Amino acid sequence: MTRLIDKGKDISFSFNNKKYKAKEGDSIAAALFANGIRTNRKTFGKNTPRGSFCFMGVCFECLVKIDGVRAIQGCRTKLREGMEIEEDA
Amino acid sequence: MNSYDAIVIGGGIQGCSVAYNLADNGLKVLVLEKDYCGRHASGVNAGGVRRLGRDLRELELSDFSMKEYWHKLDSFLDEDCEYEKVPQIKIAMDEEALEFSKNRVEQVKAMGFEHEQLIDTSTLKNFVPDVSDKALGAILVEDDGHANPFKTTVAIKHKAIKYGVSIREGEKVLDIKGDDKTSWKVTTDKDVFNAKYIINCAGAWGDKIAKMFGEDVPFEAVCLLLSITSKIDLFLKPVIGFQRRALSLKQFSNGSLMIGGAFKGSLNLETNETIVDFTQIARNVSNATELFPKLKNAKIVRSWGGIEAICEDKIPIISKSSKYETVIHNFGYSAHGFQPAFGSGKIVSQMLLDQKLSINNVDEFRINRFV
Amino acid sequence: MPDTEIYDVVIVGSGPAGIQATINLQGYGLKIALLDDSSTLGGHIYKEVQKNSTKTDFFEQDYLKGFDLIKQINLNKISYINNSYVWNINPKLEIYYSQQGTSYKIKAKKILIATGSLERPFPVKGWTLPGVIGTTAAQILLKESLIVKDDAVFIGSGALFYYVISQYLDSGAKIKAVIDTTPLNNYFKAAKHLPKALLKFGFFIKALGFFAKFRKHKLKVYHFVDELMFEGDDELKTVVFKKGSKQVKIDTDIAFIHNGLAPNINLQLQVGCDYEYSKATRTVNIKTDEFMQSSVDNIFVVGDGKSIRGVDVAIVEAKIAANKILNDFNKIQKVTTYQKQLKSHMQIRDFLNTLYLPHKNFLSPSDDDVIICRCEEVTLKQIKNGLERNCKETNSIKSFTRCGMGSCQSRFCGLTLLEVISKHTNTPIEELKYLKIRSPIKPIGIEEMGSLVEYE
Repeated sequence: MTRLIDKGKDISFSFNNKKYKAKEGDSIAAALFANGIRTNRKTFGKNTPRGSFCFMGVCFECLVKIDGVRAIQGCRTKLREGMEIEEDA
Repeated sequence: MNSYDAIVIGGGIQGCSVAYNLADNGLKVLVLEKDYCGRHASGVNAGGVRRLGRDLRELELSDFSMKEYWHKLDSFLDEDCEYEKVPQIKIAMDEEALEFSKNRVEQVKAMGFEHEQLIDTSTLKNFVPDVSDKALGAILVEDDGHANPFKTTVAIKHKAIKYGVSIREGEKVLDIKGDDKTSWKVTTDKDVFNAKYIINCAGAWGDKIAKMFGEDVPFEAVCLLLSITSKIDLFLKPVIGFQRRALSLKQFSNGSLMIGGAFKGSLNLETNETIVDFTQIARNVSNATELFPKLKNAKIVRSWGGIEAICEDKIPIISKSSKYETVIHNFGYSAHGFQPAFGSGKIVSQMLLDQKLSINNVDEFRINRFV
Repeated sequence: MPDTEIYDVVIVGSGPAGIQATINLQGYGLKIALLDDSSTLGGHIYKEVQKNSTKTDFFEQDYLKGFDLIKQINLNKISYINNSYVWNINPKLEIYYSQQGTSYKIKAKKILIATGSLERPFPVKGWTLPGVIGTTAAQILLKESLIVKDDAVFIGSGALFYYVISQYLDSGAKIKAVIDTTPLNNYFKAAKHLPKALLKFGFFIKALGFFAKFRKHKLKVYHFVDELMFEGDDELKTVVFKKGSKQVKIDTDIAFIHNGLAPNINLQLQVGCDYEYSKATRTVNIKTDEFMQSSVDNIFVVGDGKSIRGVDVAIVEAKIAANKILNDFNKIQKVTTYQKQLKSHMQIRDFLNTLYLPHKNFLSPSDDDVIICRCEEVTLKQIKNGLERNCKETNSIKSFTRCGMGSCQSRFCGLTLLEVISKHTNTPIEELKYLKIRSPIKPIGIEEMGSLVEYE
């Protein structure tokens, strides 16, 4: 993954308890993508892994869990400093 | 070619169930359905398989349907209806509701039925660990349940087809002419049919069919709102209702919940269109979260209004026409016709063929009470 | 109880059409609200163009001209409600929207819906594997976060497909391969629309520019691919496809796929707007009259949210609708329909629709294991089983299989379901009903929903 301009402010966050960095202004889905994380949830029924698909708020594949709250749309939610994100499963 | 012994109008769970029973008695049967089978109340209701809280006048019918069909569903239907035998519980949140519940259980017992029992708060907590501490007690029926209403309707439809019933979907009845002596001539928007018997199972449109025989029924079609939530961890096995409060809750095995109550949307019967009033949904779901704080993490995925027909006295019409021996009305279940449907199918067929009825109390269902 | 704010006009969507409508409506003393679920104006096509307006190294003129459009909006004259998702409109013109975890109810006298497009489903084996991503997503990541992915594989067809590849190359990203699924036959069929299309000379100059660029970057392109699938245990590992009779495998961790665009119609359908199936584009489109009025009184639908015709048509339609609205409010006397402009921009559409109509294998899969409904994990086999069970109406299949019942509410399975039902029941596809769309068209938190009792 490449940032065309690497100037913005760094934001730290964790995903499944591992620490990562992204840029201010990134959505959660973009931050995960930038860190090479492809899977962000497992389906309720068959527990199969899924990752963000449309990045425009309509496919509901980018769901993550934040502070125990499930089904948060990663592509519609801006990353904040220190956010603790988990797989939605 | 277009001659039948009996024409059933309406391809919901009632119509299909009646049709199957008639075919089982050797009749040549046609079902006419204006949309597709299970399109309306039969397919989109809450799926409650419930004797709990039934109007005392229809308790015998409900109990018959439960014991003869639902409790033996595997041998009755060939297809999976997602039927689960689980408790149904109606919770009392205040003294008045608890008093009402006590009287209710006694009345039911006095009629000779043992399924309803009064339980205290600690027993309730065994069944529903997350229930609010304000609950004072409840009525429990251990062997009620729920099923997928659409799949159930499809399954009984297939059973009917297997027994030789013809089903024509997307065909609307426009006119019926005839009398007991000649045969009935039924004109649809596509064809004309003849039959000796007519059975009106037209649900929310049943009054319109009754009118074709000159019978007026005090009847109101309403749009009852239901909502489905996103999938959350399983926490609720029984189906929950509340005594004297408009709220019902059920969790499916896939994690999503159905939230209902007696909240209404608006309805256009000509176009079948319903309008959901989201301030009403708001009232409905905040009642639910007040009692089950766990729901706060769930989301509403969709809400809709089901079209249901409510009779003035809230029980169905299951009787021969007041004017014709060869016409039977079987509609107006007033939003609780799903569970009794298998039993009603049997009773209607017995009525039509002048056989001995499997239940005793049918007088309350006569159309004569209105016309 | 909060007052329900009443607007003269509520515009849903701040892409080019929504922006143009706002521009034409502002300044007449009307009370206008412009709602969009993004934080900035521009929609997908002009996403973050204000922020990126100086980055001429990475972005070309077609995108940057969005900046000039946006500059014309006077935000002091209207209520611009950003980060807000409209999840229900009813025929009484009541509007419910969600903004930062709170839902609100407002009312309008006129509503203009300009919700744009989304990606047509691309139902092939393995398309749900993490790492398989929509091509528009590549563009969004680029514009929104300036992120590009080196060595990705692009798979698909369509004007937007080549446009995004070109943008990717401009940004300096390396592309591992392009798997072009445009059928060879489409080129012959499209040829008959070429003379009219050639009147849009600028388009062809641009297209030639793209292909020159692809050659310059020595892009590896596989043409006319009509069979493909994705493999990997838990995540994407390999793209497998047929090139002639030879099977080719390319390892990659990201594949950007594109099967064309479809109108984003859930909001329009849930309020009851009439729709029609277009065999030319194989999409469900919203019906309007020449003034962009839908079948629901006082609701206008324009642009790609009506049917896919691109940004130029969207802008003209927005002008037409705005004109009619101003006339309805007695602000102007004459109604213009901009027929000439519309016709000029439409010259290219038949050509593009024919050329980029997806191969039938990518509209209706034949492998039983392919997932049709991503949300509810419904496979082709389950749909076929439903059809055999005598459930032949679209909505009965939905009830029976749960296809289309999940969170996305059929946005990524609805069109495929129509194709499958049509194929397996021999019913002309235009005779099928589309799935019934329920509100909220996006899941709304229970507490958030509950707070609406204030408006009771």
